[in-house]
Amino acid sequence: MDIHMILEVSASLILTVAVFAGAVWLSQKTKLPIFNPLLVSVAVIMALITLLQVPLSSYETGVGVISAMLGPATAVLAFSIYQQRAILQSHFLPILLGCLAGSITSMLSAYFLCEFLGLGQEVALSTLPKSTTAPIALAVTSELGGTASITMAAVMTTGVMGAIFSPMLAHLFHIKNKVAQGVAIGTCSHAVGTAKALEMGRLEGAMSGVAIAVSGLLTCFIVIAAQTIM
Amino acid sequence: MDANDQYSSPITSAVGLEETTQPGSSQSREETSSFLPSQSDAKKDSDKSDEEDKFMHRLKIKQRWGWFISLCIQIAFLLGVCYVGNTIASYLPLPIPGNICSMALLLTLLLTGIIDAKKIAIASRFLLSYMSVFFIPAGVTILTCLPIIQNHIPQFILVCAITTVTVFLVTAVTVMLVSRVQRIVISKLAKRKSTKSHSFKLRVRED
Repeated sequence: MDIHMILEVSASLILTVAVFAGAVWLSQKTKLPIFNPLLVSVAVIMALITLLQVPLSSYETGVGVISAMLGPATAVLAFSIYQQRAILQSHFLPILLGCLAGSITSMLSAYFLCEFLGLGQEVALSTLPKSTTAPIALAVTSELGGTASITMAAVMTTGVMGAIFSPMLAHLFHIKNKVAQGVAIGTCSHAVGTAKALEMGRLEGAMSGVAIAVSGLLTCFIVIAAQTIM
Repeated sequence: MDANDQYSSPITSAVGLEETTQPGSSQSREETSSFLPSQSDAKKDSDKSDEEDKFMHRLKIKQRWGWFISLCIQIAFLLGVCYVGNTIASYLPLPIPGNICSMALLLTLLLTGIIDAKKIAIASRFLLSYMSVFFIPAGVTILTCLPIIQNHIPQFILVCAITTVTVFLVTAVTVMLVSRVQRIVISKLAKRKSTKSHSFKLRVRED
């Protein structure tokens, strides 16, 4: 390994962790939902990269360690689901139907809103799977023939918005059922929202984790079924 | 619900640690001390002799090292599960991603009792409480698509906001409605069952 690469890796790791720690501190201090730690840290890092004219590829290789942990971090949701298995059993049908309704609404509303606002066919197809977790969304986009980077942007934006809006929405519409809150967060804003749901409570987090898997798989199946029919 | 604190973000969990140790509810105390080596224990022993102080200090370091080493071992195990999950996913005919496969694999391992949930508890709590960090690299890649949607950014954000709100409300309302219907159906079935068994008992008595 040459020194350049070691510098690259350590600089981007330290930058990421430090910015995230600062963002967590900011959100704890201000308690404003708009200062979502993920949103703030992504914005700050993007600004720094553009200002310092660091090539994006060198940052990406630098934070390879963090990206590699995304797999275990998603898989570990199984642990929180396992802890709530009794509630999952008793609420099996509501969770399944809720995810189904949510996925269909998400796909249809995203597609037709994009067409309505004149964003074009390409953007519409790429934003269609945006409520699912990133890997599923990318797979669905490649099935539909959309653009991967637009899908990624839509997925992240939706996730952050879900994390910001969902506690407010639950409060505004008096949704006190914790299972409903968790499933709704997981269906509309996948793993980024689940991080927020885990902050709200153990049960919400576990239900959100279930909803990621169920709604993601349902979206996948619906798209494949629709393609074979048409 | 004090046990919830360990799932919350790093700083709130540190606050929750001090809160939960004071009332001393045994379960949450055990769990938090396995999650992070508790520091308030040392405060209580401040008036005791120096030797004990040194012993506590050594114990604390040992605990912290133990916590760190078991975290590393458990994360290594989880990475192994993910590797197997990714391999399974690549052989499946459907485009199901490796993450979901490894999640399903881990859940089956836990449900069948092949691995104990306690054995991966430390890494699970660690990864769950810092989950947002792992999405930062994915978020930064938005930079590559900014030139494509440059002229449509307000519309793009509007679409995301509207759909997020709609999907949240539709899902939450569906879950609540279906669970209410389910509860009514179950209670009706239970009533019917109880009346049936009641009449059956009456008939038996009449005989």
